[in-house]
Amino acid sequence: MNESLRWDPYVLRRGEGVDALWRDLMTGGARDVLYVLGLGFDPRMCDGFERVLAAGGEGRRDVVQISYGAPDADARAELLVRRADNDAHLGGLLAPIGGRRFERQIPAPQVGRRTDARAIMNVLSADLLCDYHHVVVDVSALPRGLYLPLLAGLLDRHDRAQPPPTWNLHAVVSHAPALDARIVADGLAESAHWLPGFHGARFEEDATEDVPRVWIPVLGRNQHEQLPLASVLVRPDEICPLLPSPAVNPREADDLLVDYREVLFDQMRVEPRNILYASESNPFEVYRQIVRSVRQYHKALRPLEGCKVALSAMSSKLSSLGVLLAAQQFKGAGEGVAVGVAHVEPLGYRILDDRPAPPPTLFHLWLAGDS
Amino acid sequence: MTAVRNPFRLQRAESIDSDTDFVRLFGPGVLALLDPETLWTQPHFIRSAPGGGKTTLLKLFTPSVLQTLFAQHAAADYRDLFTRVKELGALDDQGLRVVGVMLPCGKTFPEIADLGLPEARATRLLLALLDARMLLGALRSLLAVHRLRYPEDLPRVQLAAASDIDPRTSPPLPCDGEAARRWAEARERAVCDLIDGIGGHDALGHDELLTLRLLDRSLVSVAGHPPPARWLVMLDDAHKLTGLQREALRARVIEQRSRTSVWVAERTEALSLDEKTAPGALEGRDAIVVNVEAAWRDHRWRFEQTMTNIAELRTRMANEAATAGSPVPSFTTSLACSLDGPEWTEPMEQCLRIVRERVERFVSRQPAYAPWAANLSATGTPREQALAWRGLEIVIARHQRKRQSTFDFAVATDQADRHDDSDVKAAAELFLAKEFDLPYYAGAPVVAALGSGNVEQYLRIAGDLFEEVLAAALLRRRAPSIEPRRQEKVLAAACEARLADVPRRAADGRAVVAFLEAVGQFCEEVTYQPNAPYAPGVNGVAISMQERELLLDPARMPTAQHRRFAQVLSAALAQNLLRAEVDKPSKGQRVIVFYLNRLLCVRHHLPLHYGGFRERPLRTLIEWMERGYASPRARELPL
Repeated sequence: MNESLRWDPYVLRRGEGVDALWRDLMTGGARDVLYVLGLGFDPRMCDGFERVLAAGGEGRRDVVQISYGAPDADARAELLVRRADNDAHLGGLLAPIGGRRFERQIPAPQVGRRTDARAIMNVLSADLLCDYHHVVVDVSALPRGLYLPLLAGLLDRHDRAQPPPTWNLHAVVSHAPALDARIVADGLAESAHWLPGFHGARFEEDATEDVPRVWIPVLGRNQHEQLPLASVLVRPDEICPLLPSPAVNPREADDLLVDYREVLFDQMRVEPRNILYASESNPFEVYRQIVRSVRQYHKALRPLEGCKVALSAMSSKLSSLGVLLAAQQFKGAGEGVAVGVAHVEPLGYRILDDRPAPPPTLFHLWLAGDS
Repeated sequence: MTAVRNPFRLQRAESIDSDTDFVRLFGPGVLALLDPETLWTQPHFIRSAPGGGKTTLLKLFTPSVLQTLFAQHAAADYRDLFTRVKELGALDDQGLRVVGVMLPCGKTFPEIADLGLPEARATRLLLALLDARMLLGALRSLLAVHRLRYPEDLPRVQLAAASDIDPRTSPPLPCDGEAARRWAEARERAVCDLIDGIGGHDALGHDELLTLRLLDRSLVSVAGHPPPARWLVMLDDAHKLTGLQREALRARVIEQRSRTSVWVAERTEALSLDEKTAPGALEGRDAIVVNVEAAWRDHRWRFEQTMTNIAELRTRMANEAATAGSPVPSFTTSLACSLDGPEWTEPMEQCLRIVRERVERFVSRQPAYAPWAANLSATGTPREQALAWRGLEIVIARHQRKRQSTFDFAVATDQADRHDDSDVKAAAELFLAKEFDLPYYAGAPVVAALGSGNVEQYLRIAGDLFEEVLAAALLRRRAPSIEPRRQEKVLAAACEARLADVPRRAADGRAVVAFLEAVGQFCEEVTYQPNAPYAPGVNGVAISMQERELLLDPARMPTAQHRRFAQVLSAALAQNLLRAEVDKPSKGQRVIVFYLNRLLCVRHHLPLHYGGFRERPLRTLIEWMERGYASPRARELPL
């Protein structure tokens, strides 16, 4: 089995470090940036793009704006107003610089279908990508059921392109755990599903029905309903929840254990020694922790033909990027482990608490390319 | 299986991990839904709302469960089930007569439709994957039936040659089980890789279900053993396939006219609105459709019996697991329902006094009715007398209304006896319960009725009641029981929980809830008119069959609101929140009736019988969905 890590060393910047990185990236002539974001209600939607613009430099600054789902008669009015405000704000940012806005509408998923997640994997054509030096995917206002397949698809295309592409791939997230905790799902899909772009189908093969299943859910707040649903899909033999530690709240991991005590220990019979920990603010550490654990399990279970692994991103968006990286790692040659990403789709969202939240911190991950 | 404190919480077949416990908890009554004459000779489509018991039914016919049942068949607890399964032909006194292969359709197949391939190619891929998994399943099941090991004993399985089977889409015949397994696994891997974007190719594909042909010809057998009497392929969760995939599957299953029995289990949510409300058009010589809830509704006593049996089996299991408290002798007898006991004497006497005084005050103003009141018997329990007076009140109100419309002011004494009619008595009981906050929903038959033909719904509410029984048993009461008022409280909470669940389970769930609420309010208003015109009450609404046609064809729907209503109605039917009865006669035309789920009747204090409905124009129902129910008039004042 491969023992190396694809993202080693890695490039992760936060806060002012993001500004410094962009200033560096924008030197040496015109650099064209294609900024991909979701048109949503999240107030952080434009945070990352504002920082790109603030870095200055020459070159185009264009946006791919992804709209998803049908205009929902049932959607809460307040969310629609916020979305409209964000739309206007983005327009205000683009107008002075003459930036283009490419609108991409992802069809609403039909009941039980994941056509939207497949569609988003092809939302950026090869011609469009090759026209830019930097492609940035801002996940702040995109649901993870869409941005995880989107990034997986872009990484695959980057890896397979011959000759190697000229564009670099970055992921950006405006991280605010306090705000994340206030945005909750308003209804859930009845069952979990495998996100496209990963190896969910391989996980489900009858041929490997008897191979042990290991499930690593990366946990955050408000996932009490999602956990059992994902568990029904995965049917794990071993469960290794990954908790955030260290975290802004030093007791966050303990608080989560207490909160999920019944579902994890009474219902799912999780072994306490299986619990993993990784930094709340470093997705690369989440990635390393997952990869290390998966390799250990696979090695230990070799007499039983190894294992197959399911990951679930039930945490902050920042940590969820660690899930993406780990799943991508095992697509590589020589890994020998099928890794799928099990996901429970919200039917909608609501904001629990409208009080001002602490300001978010911008995080930037450089995923592919050599600039 | 780990001891379970409340076995009613084991609602799904998957949550019972031991075959012994599964067999033990299986209520044999459900097998009455299957006709032994056609069970093995025609494809079966078994449909229900979520929790209807489809997967449980299919699981019974898998090799390990049948073997467990056969091994235990001499024991008293299993004898009835064994007898019924034997009558169906799946077992005999020597052992298994069927090799069951169960395949979940939700695994991987739907993702094929998401690949964006042309329809024909996608269908061929679907059939290729189905074939591969069916063959793998058949190999496993065959070895299990013969108590051999998978995969070690695969070399003992033989697949014979057949000249008319396309070698491009079959294992290399003749071959042994190991070669067949490798072929099937390679097929499966190719399709999965295509879905995962790892590679694979979409050129492979099948035009028919090849495995069914192999099984039909008895080409698959274990060396040294006779071939199986029959094969049974069970496709579970077919609703998870796309509409096109379901249609392709149905077409192949019917067209191939396989000797292998094929059962397809699917939720009603996958059906079009036409199929959900069609008057039996799908049944015929090609296939048998078993709609589980409809079958139970047609034999309500059977559902009650089966649920009672299931409840007692689970109660027995709970008694074995209990480490403290008194055993629970019986679940059904724990549900007290009588309001004639001494604890009810005083409340009933108060009801009687209030109602009688009210009638007597009216009679003092309208002396023509005095003989009616005088004829009322003074014998009977306070409750019986209160019902009689309340019934008289209803009859008087009816007579008053009739007089006003016909100007016939004569008061014939023979009409007074109408208060004894069963519908009036039923309405009187309902009205009394509402007026004086008396428990109405209590007792085992009521709990069974509130299951609304759905096993999971029944187990959920019975489980809530069983928690109360367990609490009573823990207090070491000799005969733990729940008094009626407490039962009603638990059932009301269950109703609210069911409604709260709707936005999570149904698309456009909030609109579904709004519509159900409006229907409930309408039914409540109509039911509680003083003259009880539709005694015992109304718990459904109807539209004409012509308006039903309008909802079936999106092209004919005049407005977006019609389209949305069609979706809302479809979601409500799929989740068993409404039940449709088609082509009923009503005032010279044919209508389709939508009855509320019986559990939802609790919220609006409605009766639980079927047959009480009112027709409304489709535009009215759409208004209810959008704006809620608005009463056209203030409630009439009581007498």
